Amino acid sequence: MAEKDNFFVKNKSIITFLILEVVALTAFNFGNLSYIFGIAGGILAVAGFAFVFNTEKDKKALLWLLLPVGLLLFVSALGSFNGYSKGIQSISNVALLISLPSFFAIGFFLRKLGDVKPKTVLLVVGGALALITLFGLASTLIEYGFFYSLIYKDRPIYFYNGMPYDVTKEMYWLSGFEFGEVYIEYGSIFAILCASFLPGLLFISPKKDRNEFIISLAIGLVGFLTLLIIPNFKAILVLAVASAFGLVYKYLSNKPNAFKVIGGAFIGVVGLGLLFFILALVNAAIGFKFGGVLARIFVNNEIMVGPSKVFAALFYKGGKNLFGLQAYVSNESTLLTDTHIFEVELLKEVGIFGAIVFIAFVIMMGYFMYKYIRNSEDTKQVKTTFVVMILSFFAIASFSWASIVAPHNELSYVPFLRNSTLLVVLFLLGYIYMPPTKEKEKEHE
Amino acid sequence: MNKRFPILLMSIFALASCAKTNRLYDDNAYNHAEFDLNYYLEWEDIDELNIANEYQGPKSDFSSCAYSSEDDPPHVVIGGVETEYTWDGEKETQFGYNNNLSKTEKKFSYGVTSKLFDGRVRCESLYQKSRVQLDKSGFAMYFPKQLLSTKYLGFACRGGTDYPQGQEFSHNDLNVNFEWSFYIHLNTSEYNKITYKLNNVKIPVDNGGNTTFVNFTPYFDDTFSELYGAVAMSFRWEVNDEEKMATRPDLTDDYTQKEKHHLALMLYEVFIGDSIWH
Repeated sequence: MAEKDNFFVKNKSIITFLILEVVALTAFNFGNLSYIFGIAGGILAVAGFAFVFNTEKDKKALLWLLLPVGLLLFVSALGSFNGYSKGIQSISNVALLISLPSFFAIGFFLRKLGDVKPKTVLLVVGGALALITLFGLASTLIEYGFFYSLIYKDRPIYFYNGMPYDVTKEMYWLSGFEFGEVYIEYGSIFAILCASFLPGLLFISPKKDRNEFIISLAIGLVGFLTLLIIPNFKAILVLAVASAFGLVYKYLSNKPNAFKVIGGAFIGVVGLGLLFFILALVNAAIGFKFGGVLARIFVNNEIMVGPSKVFAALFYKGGKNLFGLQAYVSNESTLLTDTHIFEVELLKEVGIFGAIVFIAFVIMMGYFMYKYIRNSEDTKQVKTTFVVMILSFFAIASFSWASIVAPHNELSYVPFLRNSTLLVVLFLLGYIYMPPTKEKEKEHE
Repeated sequence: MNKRFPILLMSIFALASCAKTNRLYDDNAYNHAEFDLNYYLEWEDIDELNIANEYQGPKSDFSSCAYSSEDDPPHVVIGGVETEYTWDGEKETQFGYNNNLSKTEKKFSYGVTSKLFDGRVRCESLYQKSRVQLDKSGFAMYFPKQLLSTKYLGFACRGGTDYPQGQEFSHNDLNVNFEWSFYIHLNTSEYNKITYKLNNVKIPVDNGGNTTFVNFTPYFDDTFSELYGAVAMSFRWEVNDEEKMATRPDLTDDYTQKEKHHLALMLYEVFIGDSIWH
């Protein structure tokens, strides 16, 4: 047994390295091959389990891991068996089934292995995100110049393959192994994750922690400048709101009431959003009976046009699509409507039950994130960066998500659950996941 | 020096930033409801090229066919091979989709002239946006790359007028002359010009989406065997049908005659077939 332990202890740095490498490649979205890294994540999750199980005395934490992994497995199973079915897409389905729970699990295992510091994990993930964002920033500047979405808004049209396209809606990005046009919303997801490194700088000194400060600043600036040169005001606003957490944490953390008030306001906003979402769904379920002002609020406006099509499709033919729209990658315009709201995209991909479970997972993670802030021994800078990254991601995904990536190809459809940035965020969530441990319980007793 | 580096880098980006924003247009560019606003009148500065020699081709005859029915696509001889010419650019089996220049060279995909290289060879719903509306003065353009070789040349077009609906100038056989020139780079300062004159080509006018497809193999005299080194082209046309035009004295192919109704050439596709570019 001791020999066995010795093997796992000796070699855990290998598994640590591999986890970091796979996560970094996923964050870089290397070659648009996130499904390959998803499968690699699955293999590493199995290996990580063996290592943690053999080195970690706290087996109860592993049991707690089953809860989020189980929820993610349910969602990914619905996503896998609904939609793609042929050729490489079947590999993609297997990858989806494996990748969501696996990336959460490898985040959790990496923390348990304890071979690298949290700030190192952040810098690896941030570095990879910043690298692809830097390519995007440089190529966007070369192709479009500064502030192009403002400068050219009156004459925004250029022609590609004979058809008119709007230059203010796109940016340049390394997509696969070549640069090309992507929607601003797509590139901005990477950029906002990088920019989320900036609030953490409030907690470190540029003199004492010079290197860490410079690297974090560089990652943050790459993201922020990318949003600024477009400029993508929506993303900057989302970033500002998420970054407010850093200010609150810095200046009001010794005032418990402040946290309660802000937490209450946050829950209130999320609750209102959910209520709106439920009412819009109910309206669709009863055949869009809301009239007058209610119809204008829940159906007939710029934001709700796309979602309404999805809601209608969801309840079409006696609920046949309640587990997700069949063959959602098709030429049917309803299915390819980009709603820009990840909750609605989930309805397309995994139906109403899958969406509810995923949203429940996110809310549960909100609770564990709160526990992480309160109980973790990580530095405030690390905690702030993790939290702002996660908050920014789900906020931007709620308001400005891009499922259709390339303007020149409306079939360049990357479902929410198959987006590489989601895998990265699930990894981060797994890394900060703090289930109750025996030690904590004893302390509590 | 270190402090200056980021500023220098940003300046380079700023100076370089022009590729996608060089030529931008308003929302309905070349697709306005008003006919006259849709003319493509760009004549790039090829007239400034120093032309050393001018040649005319082709020696062999060209072929043309009017295409009117999806169910009965015509067969044309392209590069000695009989090919079924069909119009739908979306289906893989079809001619435009398989042979468009954008598919060969991505650089042809950008700009208004990309309408001519996109594989959409006929007016049909969304494809109507793919037309380039020409006055008889035509247009001239530099290629984004240099042509090394091609096996055949061709184009798809129809006529269109600004008569209100119901008063179409519906002739399926209006005679038109075309003049298509290529500018061959010889050395740093000199160019050869090769012009193909295609006379009495019959084109449909205001007859639904019907188009005529014209093609020929670019054989020349002994001096040339191919269009090696072409860097630019120009394209002109004129009506050569006094009899039919006489039935509509209020109609002209001259865009500058504002008081009359206008007849334009709707050019859908230009084929520089099986070509290699540098």
